[in-house]
Amino acid sequence: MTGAELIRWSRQHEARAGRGWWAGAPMIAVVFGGALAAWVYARMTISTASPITATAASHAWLAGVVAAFGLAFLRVPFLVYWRADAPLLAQLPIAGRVLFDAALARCVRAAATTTAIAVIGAGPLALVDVELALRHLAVAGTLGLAAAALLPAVTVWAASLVDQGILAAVTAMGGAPAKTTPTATPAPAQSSALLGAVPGFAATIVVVIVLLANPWLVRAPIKLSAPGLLAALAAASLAALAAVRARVADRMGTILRDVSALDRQRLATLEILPPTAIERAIARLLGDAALPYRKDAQLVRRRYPMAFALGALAFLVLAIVGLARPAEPEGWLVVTTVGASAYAITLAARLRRPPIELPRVSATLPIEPAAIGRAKLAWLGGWYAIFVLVPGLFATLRLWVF
Amino acid sequence: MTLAKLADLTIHYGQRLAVDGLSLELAAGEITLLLGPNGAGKSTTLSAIAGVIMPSRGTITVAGQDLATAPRSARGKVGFADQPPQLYEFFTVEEHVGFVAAARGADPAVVMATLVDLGIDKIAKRPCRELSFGMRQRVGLAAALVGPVELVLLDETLNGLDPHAARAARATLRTRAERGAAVLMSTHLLGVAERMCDRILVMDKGKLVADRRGAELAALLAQGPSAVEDFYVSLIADEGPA
Repeated sequence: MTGAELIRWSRQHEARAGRGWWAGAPMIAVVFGGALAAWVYARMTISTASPITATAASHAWLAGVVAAFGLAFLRVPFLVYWRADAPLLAQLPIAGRVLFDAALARCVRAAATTTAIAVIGAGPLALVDVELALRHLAVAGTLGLAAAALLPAVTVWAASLVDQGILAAVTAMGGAPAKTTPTATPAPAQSSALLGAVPGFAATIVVVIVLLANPWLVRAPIKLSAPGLLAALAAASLAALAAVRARVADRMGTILRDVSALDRQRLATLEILPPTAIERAIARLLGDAALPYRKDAQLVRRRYPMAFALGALAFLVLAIVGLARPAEPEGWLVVTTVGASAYAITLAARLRRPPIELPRVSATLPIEPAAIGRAKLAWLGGWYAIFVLVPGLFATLRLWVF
Repeated sequence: MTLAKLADLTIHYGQRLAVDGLSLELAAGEITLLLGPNGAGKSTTLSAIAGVIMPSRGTITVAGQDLATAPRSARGKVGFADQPPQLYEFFTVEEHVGFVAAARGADPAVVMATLVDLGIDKIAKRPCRELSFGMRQRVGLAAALVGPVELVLLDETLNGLDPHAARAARATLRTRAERGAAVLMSTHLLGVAERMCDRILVMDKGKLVADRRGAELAALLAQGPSAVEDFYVSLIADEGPA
């Protein structure tokens, strides 16, 4: 099977599994790009045209674009190896390079959608200053190239370390002695976590480089050469992709098999924890929705621990903004709350799908559908209140009231 | 005593007629086997009685309660083992069955008792997602049986069980029937029919084509070890899946 054939099969499957044109990439680009453009335009017109409003609009654009690409970067491992079809593909006699190219095609499509959002969002800037808009497009293009080339390359490279047993060795050297007991079975959880952490680290570096180039976007003084930084990032993206494709792509089948096996082992080990005090308190208020709420809370904790890590990150950012009171806090507040809200929408969708919700099981049990809905709303509301609303209120009060 | 009653049950999948005006009654204390070729409408019928899919026409009554007008109380009396078993993959076996028991308002103690009955108490702490096919079938069966269930619906649940597991499942189902539950199970394992059933229903193309119980069934079974298979083959033409 050639790369084109595999991509065509994958596209056919995705089209069958798709939710219609209104949830397709073009619509996502138009809706989110339009929303970003509206926000940028609003920031641009808060007062008469001046360098300050251009800066505010640029910051708004950058905040939105960093949030959008942050999500795009996080998705890359899910486009490459954390996929439902990975174990099946690994079994089939398909060349590693073909599997690599199919994964790369998915990443390129996702990056193109996110880049389109950034480009549409920069539209209002062209109304006042074409050069300013072109600078923003350069950043969008560089981020798009990173999402399409650098992140897939780093992701596959990290997985190749698993394939070679290097991650397991590093994990053992790093923390095993303190925790290992003679009877304990080695848990692959750390290796599996590193599969997400390595691309996450690369994504952080990309975001930091873009933030360093931020003053250049509005012609503010900057010590570094922003075009040089962006060009270096673009070149590194292409070079990384070329290197990984040349050296690692052939082992893609083995990589998929090993990562799937690792993931299966990791997920086979459940951390059994009792409900937290907050969960117990919320459950007490819910009446007949308490049972599905406790079930959802338990399953989300096990299946999507990232919800708590990202929630804690949002909490920390908002708390630090409140404590430090920076001169221009709007960007931080908006990026954090918009990012957390977007993630909350993702979580809401996950709460309604397996493995959290099994509609056929719920339909056979004496639980009212309304109670199931209330349970999910309660969980989501609790998560948002604890991680976003409370620290957000604290930051708002510190910045503008006290 | 009639525990469940289906009247003119009709179910469409788009233009395709899956169940065509099915009417029957299920009695307490009876184990009924639902036979039929692939695509005959067996799973659809079971899913409709369990409340998973809505009929296009007709009524389903469980313990005197209409599934359409009193779905919650009716569902509390029905246990359904789906095919494939629907399990919360990130629960342990005990947690999954415990959740179902809690939803049915059962005492938590019945969870372990049910697992012991089916011989799966040793895997109580294992995550559902790491179970083999046969183990998943057994956990699905445990979830269908746990709590105050009066009507047990099993969709090919005995497939894939090892001989010990199958024996434990048969014994548990017989005990439940003796305590007053009605069991309706679809299967292609005709040997099971000969060993444990009180009644045989045969469906084809969405319709009920045969119903044997009591003396009629006894006479059929007395014809020899392959009597049920011969009876089935005489009724159903081999036309392939519908």
